[in-house]
Amino acid sequence: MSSHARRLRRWYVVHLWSSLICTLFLLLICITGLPLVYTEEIDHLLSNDPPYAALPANTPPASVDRIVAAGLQRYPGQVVTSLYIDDDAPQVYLFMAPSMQALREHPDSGHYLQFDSRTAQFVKESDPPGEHLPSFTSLMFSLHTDLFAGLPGELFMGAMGLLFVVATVSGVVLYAPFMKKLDFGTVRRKHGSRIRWLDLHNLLGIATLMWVLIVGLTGVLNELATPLFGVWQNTDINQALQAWKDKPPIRADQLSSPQAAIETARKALPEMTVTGINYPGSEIGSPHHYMIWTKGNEALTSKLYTPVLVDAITGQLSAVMPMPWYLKALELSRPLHFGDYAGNPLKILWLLFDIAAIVILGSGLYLWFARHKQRRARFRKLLQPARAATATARGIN
Amino acid sequence: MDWYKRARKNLWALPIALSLLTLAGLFLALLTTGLWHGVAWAMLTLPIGITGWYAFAGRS
Repeated sequence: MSSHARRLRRWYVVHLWSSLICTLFLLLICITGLPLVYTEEIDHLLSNDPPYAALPANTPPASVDRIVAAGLQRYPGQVVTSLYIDDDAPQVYLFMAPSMQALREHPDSGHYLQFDSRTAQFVKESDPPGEHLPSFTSLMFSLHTDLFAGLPGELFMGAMGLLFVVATVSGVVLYAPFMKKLDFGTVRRKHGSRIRWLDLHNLLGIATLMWVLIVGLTGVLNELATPLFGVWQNTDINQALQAWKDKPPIRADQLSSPQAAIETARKALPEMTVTGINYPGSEIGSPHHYMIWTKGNEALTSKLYTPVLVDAITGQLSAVMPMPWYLKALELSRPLHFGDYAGNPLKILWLLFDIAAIVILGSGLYLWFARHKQRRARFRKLLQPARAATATARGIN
Repeated sequence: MDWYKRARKNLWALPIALSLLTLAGLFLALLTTGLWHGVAWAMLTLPIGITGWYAFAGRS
């Protein structure tokens, strides 16, 4: 074997094994990914929420303080853990739990209340724990991201995604020897189904290569969200919190107005939109601060968040926390993975690319089976004379 | 479409062109708004359209 042939053979082995290991998981990921492209639309279709109250378009938002007070009135003795302000629809989600510690130990103890952001009227709340049935899209999401196994599941699926990237790159190397004598797009239809599917596998693989690579790599990055935010919390955030390190834990009755904290953040970053608050003691954030999440208002900057730390007792600005490069990369990898950033036509294209990826995976699996069968048949044929000879020899003896 | 015939004969011409088109379309959609999104959609339709053409209609 020439060194060139040996090299190709090695790439073939890499392609074979990387894809064999990840294909079934990737099929699951691609199939569950189809409905996930339309998560918002499906959720909206399946929900029986009352419609938003009809109010003039320029109705100003209600004070967040009223929403927090309404939540605490419904659940006296509980704490607010975070708050999310939708910038697409007039709604605020208030997340609550028996305590921050309870939430950390039993994530199921957390629940949410939904309010109209303009009137601070209660709209609905999550089902009590135990009675809570996961929605269709959250089921799809778990199958897509962590197989119901939390962080270990995320890391496992991330590893499968990485193998898929390896399979894709090795596939590109193998494209050359297969297509050397064929025009781009050639599908030989008269040479049996194995050849036809081989050509289709090569065509779909090379034509959708860049989409598959980008969605694959951004998917892997998304699976690393938890450890990446953990790194940031343990480095930059903790650094910024040095002065508060020895302060006693904050009591609920010491909390200053969250609305005032939002105003403080707005004053510090006037060109940004506030999208939520992590209350003191959240996993990401500070035991002594409101962490106010803000984002930009332009196409690109609306994907990039800058949290602001506001002292939860004094209400004073403590720090603006620009995200480190790896979290900026993570934030940009979200739209590039979800395909939800340029209207419905992009979502339709996402479905089509995803279907192409499913065909690539399925045809790859078929080609492996077909090759396997062919090789076994050839082997049997080779062995036939030998077997006949043994049988004759046995007959004679 | 002589140039296209020649491009099809070249092993890497169309794969590279389609990859660059996809990359440009994905980032154009991310960095712009409004009419530019239409350009991005068109750029991304090409790789998927060409694939569909050869997979279903192409006679070769």
